[in-house]
Amino acid sequence: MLKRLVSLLLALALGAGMMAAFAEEGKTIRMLVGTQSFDMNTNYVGVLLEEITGYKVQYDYYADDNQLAMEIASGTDYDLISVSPNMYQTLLAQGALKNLNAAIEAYPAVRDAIYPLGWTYCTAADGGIYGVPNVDDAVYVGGIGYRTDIFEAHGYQEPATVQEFYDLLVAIKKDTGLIPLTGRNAVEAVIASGFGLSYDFVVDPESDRIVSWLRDPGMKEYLAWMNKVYTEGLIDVDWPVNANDKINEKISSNQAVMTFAAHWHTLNWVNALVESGHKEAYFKTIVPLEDAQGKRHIAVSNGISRVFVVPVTASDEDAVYTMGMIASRLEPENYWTFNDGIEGTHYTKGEDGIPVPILPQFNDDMNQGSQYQIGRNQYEHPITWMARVHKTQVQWDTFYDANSKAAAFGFEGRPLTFARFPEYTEYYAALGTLCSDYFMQVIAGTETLDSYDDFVKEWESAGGLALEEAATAWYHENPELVNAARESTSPYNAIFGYDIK
Amino acid sequence: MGARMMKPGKRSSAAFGLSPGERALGAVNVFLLTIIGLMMVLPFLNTVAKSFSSNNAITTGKVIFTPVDFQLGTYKYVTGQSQFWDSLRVSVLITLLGTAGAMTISCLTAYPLSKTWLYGRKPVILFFVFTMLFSGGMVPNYLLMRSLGLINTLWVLFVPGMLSVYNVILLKNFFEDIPEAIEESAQLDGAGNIRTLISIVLPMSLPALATIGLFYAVGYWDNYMTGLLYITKPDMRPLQTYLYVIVTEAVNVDETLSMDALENIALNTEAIRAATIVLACVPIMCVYPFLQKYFVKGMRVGSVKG
Amino acid sequence: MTQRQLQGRAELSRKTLDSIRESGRRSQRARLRRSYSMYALLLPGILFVLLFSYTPMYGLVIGFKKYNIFAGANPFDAISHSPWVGLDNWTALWRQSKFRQAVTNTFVISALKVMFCFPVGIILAVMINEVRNNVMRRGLQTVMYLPHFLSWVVVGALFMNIMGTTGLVNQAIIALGGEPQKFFMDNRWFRFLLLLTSSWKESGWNTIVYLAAMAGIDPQLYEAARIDRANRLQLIWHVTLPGIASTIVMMLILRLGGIMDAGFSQILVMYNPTVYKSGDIIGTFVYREGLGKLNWSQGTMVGFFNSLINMVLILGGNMLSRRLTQRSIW
Repeated sequence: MLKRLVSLLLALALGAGMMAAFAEEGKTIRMLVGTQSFDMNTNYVGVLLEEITGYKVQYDYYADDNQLAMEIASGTDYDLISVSPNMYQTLLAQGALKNLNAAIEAYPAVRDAIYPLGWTYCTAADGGIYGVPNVDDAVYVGGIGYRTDIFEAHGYQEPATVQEFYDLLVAIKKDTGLIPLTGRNAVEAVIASGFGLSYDFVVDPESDRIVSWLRDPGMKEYLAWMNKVYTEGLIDVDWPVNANDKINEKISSNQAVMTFAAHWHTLNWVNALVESGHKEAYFKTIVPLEDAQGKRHIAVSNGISRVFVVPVTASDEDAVYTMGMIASRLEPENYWTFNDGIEGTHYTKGEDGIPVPILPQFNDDMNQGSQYQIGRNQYEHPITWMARVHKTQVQWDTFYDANSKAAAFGFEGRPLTFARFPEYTEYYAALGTLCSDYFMQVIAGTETLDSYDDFVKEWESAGGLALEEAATAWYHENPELVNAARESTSPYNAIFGYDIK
Repeated sequence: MGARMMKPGKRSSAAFGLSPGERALGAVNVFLLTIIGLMMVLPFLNTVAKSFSSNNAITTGKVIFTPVDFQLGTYKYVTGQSQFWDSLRVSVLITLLGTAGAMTISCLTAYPLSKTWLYGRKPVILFFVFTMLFSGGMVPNYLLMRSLGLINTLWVLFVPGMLSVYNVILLKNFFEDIPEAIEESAQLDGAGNIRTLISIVLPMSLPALATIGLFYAVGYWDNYMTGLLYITKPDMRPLQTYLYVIVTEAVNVDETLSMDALENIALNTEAIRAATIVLACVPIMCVYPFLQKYFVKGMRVGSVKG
Repeated sequence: MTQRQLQGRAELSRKTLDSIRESGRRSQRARLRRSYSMYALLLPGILFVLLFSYTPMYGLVIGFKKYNIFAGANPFDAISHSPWVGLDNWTALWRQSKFRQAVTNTFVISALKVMFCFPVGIILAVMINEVRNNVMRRGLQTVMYLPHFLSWVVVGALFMNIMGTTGLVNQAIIALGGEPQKFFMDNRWFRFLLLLTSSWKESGWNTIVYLAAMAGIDPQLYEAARIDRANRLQLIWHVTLPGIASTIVMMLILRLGGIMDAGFSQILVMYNPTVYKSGDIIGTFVYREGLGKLNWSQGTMVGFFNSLINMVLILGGNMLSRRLTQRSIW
């Protein structure tokens, strides 16, 4: 209790104005982060941050969760550690983390800057906050990109239903002789949507339980359809063995017409195609198809990407001091500076307030900026991040095209986004692999759908059933987390001026 | 010294003429080896070519054996950071120190074990072989390094690797082939074990020493795992650890769909991978020709006669 | 007696004569004394493995516990605080038919590799050794070591290009009127592909040991055989191969000690779900099973199982070799 009081008093003594004065004492915050190829200590952004905030941070790297667990269990003396959400839950359950309530009270700005849902996720059963979350914005990453020049030449339309998509594949194959669709994912979201599938675990409206998509009859139909187009040679025969570079090669050397596309893909493709004589080559996006009820299931990538924690061994004073450093990074002006650089040097602001990077200065100095985020400023982040999709017109067009189309249909949030129960940590990743492996075997025809029920049994005993049970129990205890995740809206809608349905 | 000076290739052909059939056989042999050699070198050339080629050329699959749209950007990217040079220094240092230390301790261990008359030889060899088969695993090893205070020191990068039982057994096997009689004479002259080892056994085992030295050096040079596990300071990572991280990072850009990752390095991940391989090979390929002269036939026996 | 046996005998008898002479001359006591001083040389090595290999071996108990690294004051303390589970970590895996299949695959792939890849290095070494031109010889050696330095990721991608569905090999097959093969997605071909790539990558590197051994063969043996009008093939058969026989036997025994690793990093790069039936091995299975978990106990248990099998094979291999060829590691 006394400790708490002391820390509170200390915290009060540290007004935001005194931050810099305190920092001048020269204390160095030791931070442990996941390994990076570049040296965060000497990188341009690292140096810049020290200059503008006054806080000295020394960054060390860890290789993986095994190593991190050994370090923490051996009694670490780091001030701040960046961990994955799974690891956060593990460490929390083991009592290895420090309660940050007092430190956050000292810097209320930290609380205000970050999404409330992130805090909900980081709040333990005892009401204590044990971590500062990095919350990813709900954003539509990309759908199936297609060659607009080929579509125009043959008069194809963007398909809306599975049947139209099938006809399109047939037509492309017949008219061009190229591979209509290449890819590597067992579940291709755009097509799966046409069978009513969105996420691997969804809330079943009838039973109000969280169930796997294996329970959805649409999954069997989807697999049967994929197997059909694979056997008919309408999709890449190398589907099960494709790697990213093979897919890139097939698209940019004009062997294939469509594949999964995000804004970081298309620039290279367009450049390569234009150079080799396809002057009109450009990409647009097919967004998830309509299911039998005419609904499109648009999955977004939102959730917690990192959590920043203080080990339980740290002193209260150190925790407060560390929180001061975090506050300094979330401060709007600083946030802009270390994410996008200096206005006029690294970026300019367009009329709409969206930053446009100045190349190559932005790439040279600021490419690693986002690695220095400790918590994301919910108000500034969606806009500062625009600089990264705005580097070239091609990238911007891809991002804009996919997002504006998808946003018009409304996003569907992932129910397990904020999942935090032991079975999730234990089984989720391995079950995902188990499923996609089986799906791939069915698609390629080395397994038939006759074995589907056996597979579901195998999946259940491998932890699937336990996961479903635990997820449902967790959902009933925390409906607000699940519902909030499902309804989460994208800040980009506001930027683009779209309404959510 | 006569036998030593004699070129191995000339030895038999000079002394005994080759029959036409044997000559043909030799030609077929060389022909086959050339084809095999080409099969092995061409993919490597392809890797080198990719490391110098433009992104477009690589993604469209145009690069075969020569660079297309020559560029140095990939190398600039890989070597451009102070990180690279720090890591290079660490790697050179640990390879030199580690190989020297490893050779010393391995020779000292292998020599007694090569003596069939050594009392308790079999249990001692088994004592070593056992460690090749069983290992305590990651956690106890980490704890050991931690309690020895080796974490984040250069020592941890080469000291624990200084005794490879595999290499000791190879070395022991080579030592066993040295005729005992030669050592006898030295021992009769009053030389101790260490002097016999240094002045008789080692000079007679140059091909073996070159082999084992190469194995150790390549082992140290190629090891990225130790640096990943026991070093957390970015500027103390060995080169291979650094390169490993670059490559996984570049690959992960697509795998994780991470939007904040290096999404726009205008470089090709394949090119980065290729450049790291080339950089990793260069030092070994520089050292190799110097070792190669020890792989010449008849080396040992020649020196004995002298 | 055939000429071959004579040659072998000549070489063997020279060695045994030496040692008989030697042991006759020495008294038991002198040997004992020299043994003592030899142990002084052994001491650093023994201390070294005691510290770096034997000290951490207490970690093997983790395999028989449900280890929670946070259970105690530190990871060491945590071992005693974690509950014993006996063989549960093993039975949990063994229950799964796909794991049993992975065990079978491990043995089959490893055995195939010993049968087909192991000899390639020897054959290559003999061929290189027969090249008379020194420049050529050195060039060939250098070139053949190169693939060793390529990572499996690169080698996998490379063979994917050559033997993929549209690769060179299939183009050739089509040109010759054959049916194109999906080498990477066909359970009939996948193991062959593993053998091929593994030979390609490591055979050149494996020649090093044999070439070094050949460098130690006494040239007089070749000359003596020449006088007996042995031709080139006979020289290889009667001088070169017997000269490196002990090296071959040793390499084979050592190889048996690594039989449970059927090539984890190779397979992880090259396989895909369609060829699990023929290509999934213990390492890859456990890797997938353990994704996202801190599962030290299972990893330790599987490692222990592998070690046991390896030990049986290396002990058995050594004993068998001593019986059959009078050569052994110990």
